[in-house]
Amino acid sequence: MEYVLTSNQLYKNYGHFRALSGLSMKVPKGSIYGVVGKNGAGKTTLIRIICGLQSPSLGEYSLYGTRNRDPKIVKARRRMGAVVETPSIYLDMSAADNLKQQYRVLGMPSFDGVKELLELVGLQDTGRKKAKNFSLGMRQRLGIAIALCGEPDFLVLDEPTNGLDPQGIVEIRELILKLNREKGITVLISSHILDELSKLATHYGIIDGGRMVKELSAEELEAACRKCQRVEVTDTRALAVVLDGMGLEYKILSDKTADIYAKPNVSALSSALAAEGCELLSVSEHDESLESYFISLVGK
Amino acid sequence: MSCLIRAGLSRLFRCRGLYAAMLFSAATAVLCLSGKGTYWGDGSTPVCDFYFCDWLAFFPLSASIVTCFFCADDYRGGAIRSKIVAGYKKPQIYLSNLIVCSFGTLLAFAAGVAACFATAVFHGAVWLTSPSETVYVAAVAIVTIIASAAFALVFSMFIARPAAAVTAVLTVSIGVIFITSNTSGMLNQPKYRISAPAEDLELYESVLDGVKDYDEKVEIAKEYGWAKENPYYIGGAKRVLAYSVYLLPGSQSEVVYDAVDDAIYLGKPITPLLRAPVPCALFSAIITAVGAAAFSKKNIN
Repeated sequence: MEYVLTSNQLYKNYGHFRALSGLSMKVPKGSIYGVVGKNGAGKTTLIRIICGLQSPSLGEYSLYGTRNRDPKIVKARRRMGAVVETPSIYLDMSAADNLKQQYRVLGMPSFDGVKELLELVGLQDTGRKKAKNFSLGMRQRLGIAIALCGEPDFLVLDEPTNGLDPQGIVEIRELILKLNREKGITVLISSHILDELSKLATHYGIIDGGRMVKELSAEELEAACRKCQRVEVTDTRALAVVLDGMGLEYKILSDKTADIYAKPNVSALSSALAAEGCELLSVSEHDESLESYFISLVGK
Repeated sequence: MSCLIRAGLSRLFRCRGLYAAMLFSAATAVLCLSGKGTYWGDGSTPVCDFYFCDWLAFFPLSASIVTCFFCADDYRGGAIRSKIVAGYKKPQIYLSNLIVCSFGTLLAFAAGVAACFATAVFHGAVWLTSPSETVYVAAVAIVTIIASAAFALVFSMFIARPAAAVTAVLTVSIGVIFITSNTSGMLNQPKYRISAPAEDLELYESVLDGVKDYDEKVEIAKEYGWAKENPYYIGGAKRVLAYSVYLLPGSQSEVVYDAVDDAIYLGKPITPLLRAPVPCALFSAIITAVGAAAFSKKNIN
């Protein structure tokens, strides 16, 4: 699998405070990678480092296979765009002027594409209105448009739906999905709104205390959060034989517990287990929401 | 980096600070010239050379205004981040800002010069420095101006809040003007004071009239007991320290002023001006290198 971004044991210290503590991650090409974490987990610090705004104290990362200390990282960075915390805009310029300014910075030969970008983010009717008079949602969209100026194939968005109303959140979500599906842009998006991420992300990285706690795909997360009956038995090998006989889908968690992804008849199960010399100790319904799964990983 | 410079120049002309600096520059030039008149020769013709040079001492303030407002716009909306994300190294951003701010400061200088000469024409003033020396004075002024922009840039690139940056740079610039004008006065104190009692006045005039070289004057005056050590003269390590202040841009305008003064009153060539570009260029190089190196380590949020 090809990875757009990999990091290896990233550390970042601000004085005595350690913001990142050996964070390692891999962002697959073409994915929408959601970085999930509590406030202060290190999401924004990570993004600042991979965008080149700050240097790591220890460790390294690679963009398109180019290490951060390699002078060629400059070329690799041209393939990415980012909105870090707040949109990077000139408040005294209109939306079009902001885009033209970014085109100049990037050395683009002409301003072709400015109109299309404005239409893509829904700012085509703003005219000469200055960015300082934009709503928060409009500024966010302008920030994304500026990030898209160099036709990047990797987009980094730091909490892009922060402060937006429900309509704004939907618009940003649909834009991100469109960019990923139609243009094949890999997106790294950080958020603490799990529900919102679950509608977008194909991969997740769960961060806590500056560390990557778990990386998993959307399918793996869905499997982890499925409704099931959690049973505790004296012998899961016997349980497996019984469940195979019943044709039920299950997952063995340990030598005493397992999850059954159906609602079995408890008395029939108990009888079948007894015939195999196994005792049914407890049955409980297990329904892991995304939030509860996240909390189980990082704690409250 | 050429793209950064082109983008910066495009943004410069939208920057309020540029027009504020041009207005400030023009206003101070008019005030310097109109505030007082100076007379030479037959005593009736104002000479604008000195007040042009006098006005140069205020120029670091114009440099501060352009630089602070220009850099503040980068920080205010966070636009500086998009340059770093685009792949530019921080020293490149620093240097491109220096070039653009220097250009903006030169535009403010041009506005001041235009106002200066317009006022001079209004007052019927004359310009006594020769054309070739005027070109040289202008070249030295430009080097001074770039040094002023480099000085202001160090503050502007590290203080993200625009109001705080402008306050800090203006405060330091005014402080520097004050220090350098006092330092200039101290450095200009001669080592010996030459004066004769009233009864020796005729002898004094006959002996020393026509002796232009200061050292020769002192030697002759010592023979007659007319030379006394000046208590206000600073020497040794203090003099070295005072000269280091001459590295600062504002003080270079004092050098220009003194050189023009000597050229007009004493007929001296403007060779002392050779002193001015070298410390200015050195100052610009050092402060820019230090500023760029420090900025490359700065964490951008």
